[in-house]
Amino acid sequence: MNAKDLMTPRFLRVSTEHSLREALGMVLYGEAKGYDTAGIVVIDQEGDLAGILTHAALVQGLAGEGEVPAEQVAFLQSVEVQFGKTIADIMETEMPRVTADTPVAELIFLMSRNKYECLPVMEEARVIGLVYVSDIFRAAAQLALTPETEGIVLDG
Amino acid sequence: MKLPEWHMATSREKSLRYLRSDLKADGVAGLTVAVMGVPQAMAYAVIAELPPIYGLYTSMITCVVAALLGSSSHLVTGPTNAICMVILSLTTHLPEKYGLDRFQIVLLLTFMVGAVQLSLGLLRMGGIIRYVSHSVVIGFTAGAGILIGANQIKNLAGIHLKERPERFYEVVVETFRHLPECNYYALIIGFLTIALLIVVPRINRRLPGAFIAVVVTGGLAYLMGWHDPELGVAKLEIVKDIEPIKASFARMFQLPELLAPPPLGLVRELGVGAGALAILGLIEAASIARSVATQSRQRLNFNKEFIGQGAGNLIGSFFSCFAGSGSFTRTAVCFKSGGVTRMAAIFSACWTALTILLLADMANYIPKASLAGILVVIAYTMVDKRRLVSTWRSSRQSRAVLFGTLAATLVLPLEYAIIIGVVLSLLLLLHATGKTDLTQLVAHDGSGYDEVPFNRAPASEVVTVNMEGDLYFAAAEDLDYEMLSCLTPKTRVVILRMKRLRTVGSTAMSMLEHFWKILRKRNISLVVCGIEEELKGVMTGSGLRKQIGEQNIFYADNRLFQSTELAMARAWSMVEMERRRLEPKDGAKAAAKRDIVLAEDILTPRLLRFGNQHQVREATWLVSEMYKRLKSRGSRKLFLQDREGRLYGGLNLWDLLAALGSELDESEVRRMQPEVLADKLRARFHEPITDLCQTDLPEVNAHTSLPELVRLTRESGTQVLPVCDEDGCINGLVSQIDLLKGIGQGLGFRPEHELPKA
Repeated sequence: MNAKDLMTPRFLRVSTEHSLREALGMVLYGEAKGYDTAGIVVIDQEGDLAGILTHAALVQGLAGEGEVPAEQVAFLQSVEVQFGKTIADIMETEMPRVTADTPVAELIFLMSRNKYECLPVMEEARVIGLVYVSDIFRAAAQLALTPETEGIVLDG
Repeated sequence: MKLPEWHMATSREKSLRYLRSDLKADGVAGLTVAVMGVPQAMAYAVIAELPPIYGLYTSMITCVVAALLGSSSHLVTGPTNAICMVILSLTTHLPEKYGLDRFQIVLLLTFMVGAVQLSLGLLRMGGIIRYVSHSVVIGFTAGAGILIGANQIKNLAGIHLKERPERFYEVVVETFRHLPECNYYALIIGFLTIALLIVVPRINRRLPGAFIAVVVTGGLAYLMGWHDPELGVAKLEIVKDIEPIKASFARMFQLPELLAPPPLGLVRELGVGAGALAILGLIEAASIARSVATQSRQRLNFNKEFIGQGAGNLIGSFFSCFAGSGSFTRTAVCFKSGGVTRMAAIFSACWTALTILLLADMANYIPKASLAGILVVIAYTMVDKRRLVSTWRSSRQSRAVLFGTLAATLVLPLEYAIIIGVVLSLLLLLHATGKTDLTQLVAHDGSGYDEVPFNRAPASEVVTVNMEGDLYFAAAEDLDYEMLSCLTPKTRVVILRMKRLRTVGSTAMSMLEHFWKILRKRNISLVVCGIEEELKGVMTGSGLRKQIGEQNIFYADNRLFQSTELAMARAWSMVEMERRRLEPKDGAKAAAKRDIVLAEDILTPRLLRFGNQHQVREATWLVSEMYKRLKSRGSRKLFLQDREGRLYGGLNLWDLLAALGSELDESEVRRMQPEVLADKLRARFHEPITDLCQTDLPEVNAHTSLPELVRLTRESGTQVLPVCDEDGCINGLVSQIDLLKGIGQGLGFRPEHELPKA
């Protein structure tokens, strides 16, 4: 089992130059339509991978650097100020890149040491799919669990 | 007068084109039908215990009249198995009772059947056929098949019962009691026929099995001299012994003796049976015509089809024909062998007539046992095992209709079985259509609505009830009370969506009026949408339109949900107005307060709870099971609670993966055997999950504000916040996407208008 077996070949794409307003629009619209919005691939002008946009990164980006205002009106005003930022400012870029033949053991290793929502599966500079943490967890559970170790023991 | 000329020209053109192209196809198809139909028609006459020649007459006269006057271009009318069985059941005991010739009674019956069918057609009642379930036909045909099969055993074995028993099972019992007296020649011929009918189509599907079987068995019997009257009791019964077929039509036309004047007692006794037989014939003809029309793409007019069938039987009764209907096998053969127009059926009748003229002498030597063999095979195919099984599995109602009809066929006189089947299917129809389905519509953040089961929508100021199906007068008031059950103390406005409701204006009107009065007593407003023209008229007349208020009524629009959208907007503006009225002093403050987004507005109520006394293995199994049921791939969190149900801590996928992957070493992960990997993953399986989980989760309750939630998630680094009540029990969670939704909600954000521009 390797990254090719676990990855999702369909994912949403957005460009680095789009604003956070557009990013929010895309996430909320995608969510309402039932798409996976947990990891959105950010691409540069050449169409190559620039980073990954996650929900958490977008929340942090909209909250801004300073203290979060306690009043909603003030908070939403500060959000509208942050709307002007581009996706390039907030996207995650530090995650490891994997390839189609990266073995599952390596994927588990990577996820067990750091928190990434998903890892991009690369073919040269292009993304061909995403492996989500949930995919890697499921693969790990499937490998580790045997029929004897499934189920829950209820005591008392 | 130019128009008629033009008509003549086209019709002449048409006939020329017909002569050039379709004539040959119809002629061949007609011949194919006749080759198959001649033995079949003779055999069906045997079912009704009538001389075989009458079966041939029926497949000529009735066939031609029905083809000329009917609607379908491919329907071949003539004797049919089920109808012959009913004729037998109706007329067996009447000759003794009235001292009349049985054939004359059959002709009277045929005349009555034709009259009923013709009047139904002329009264334009062809549409009623749509209300008879196909399950009735399948059930009745299967039952008739069993009866025919059982009835033919005696002919197959050459047994003569002195008295015909009244009941079906008595026939079976009597047959088996007389089995030792069986005629071995008959048995041989009968089984040879059955064997030929099974084997011949396997050699080539296009070979006329029945025709070959009667030729072979008839030839064999003739050559062996088994039909010789000198053999006495041991002789084989042939068609000639029943009534000789003559190569002329001299005796075909005869006025039914009983028509002038008909004995009233007999007519009364036949009445129910004739009605049932008429309906059976129409159901058969219509369902066969319909199944061919779906392939030929012909548009059928059932009124015309009724007229064709009725006239066929009515006229047939003057030409020594018994009641007939559309024959499934002959119609199918006609269509498959290339019949183009109704001329094919007429050709089949001509070929049949020619057969009588040319081959009458030979037809006389067909053994009765051979016809019985054909019938046994037909009876077997009449029990449509596949359809019976699939109907049994479909729904409880159609199961009831199908097997109710089948059982009635086996135990009751056949005319009542038909009536029971029709009544059952009408009851089923009433049951299915007499219901109003209620659902609720819930607006979701963007635009559009989710349809949720009735009473499953979250409490809201505006309740939208979607009504679907049929509403009958008697049910209208009960429905009002049922609808009331979706009201909550929060409810201020009820929207009734009536677009998908089929009903008559006055019924809907009385329901609306009643509902409106109840709501008014509770001080709840009513908004209606999807109102059709007819209801609008009735509402105007009664003054209800004024009472509800024109601004609260939205008329049906062709655009999906258009009137619903308007109604919802209206309802919310009413809620708004009421709020302002209640807080008249500080309008600005009220407006600001209204838009405040709190945790309770955005939380996800569904979450995964787990006791904190478990091990890593169990948590791994539980979460992996959860993911099997989830479509989305986003990360989720498991919340642990203590034995009192209070929140203990949270466990996310990375925590679990950290435990599972703790033994992995970077240097070896690229080439690791699956077994080794599995062992390493299991290394910390039996550790308690309390060692892994985060316990210092931020405190959030239903009233925590949106900015506070954002601050807490940033400061604690927790992506999924648990929302707890006063007792510390978790009753929801706020994830990062919930926060984004909250921000969108606070800003009045319309995502579909904010999408990235290319």
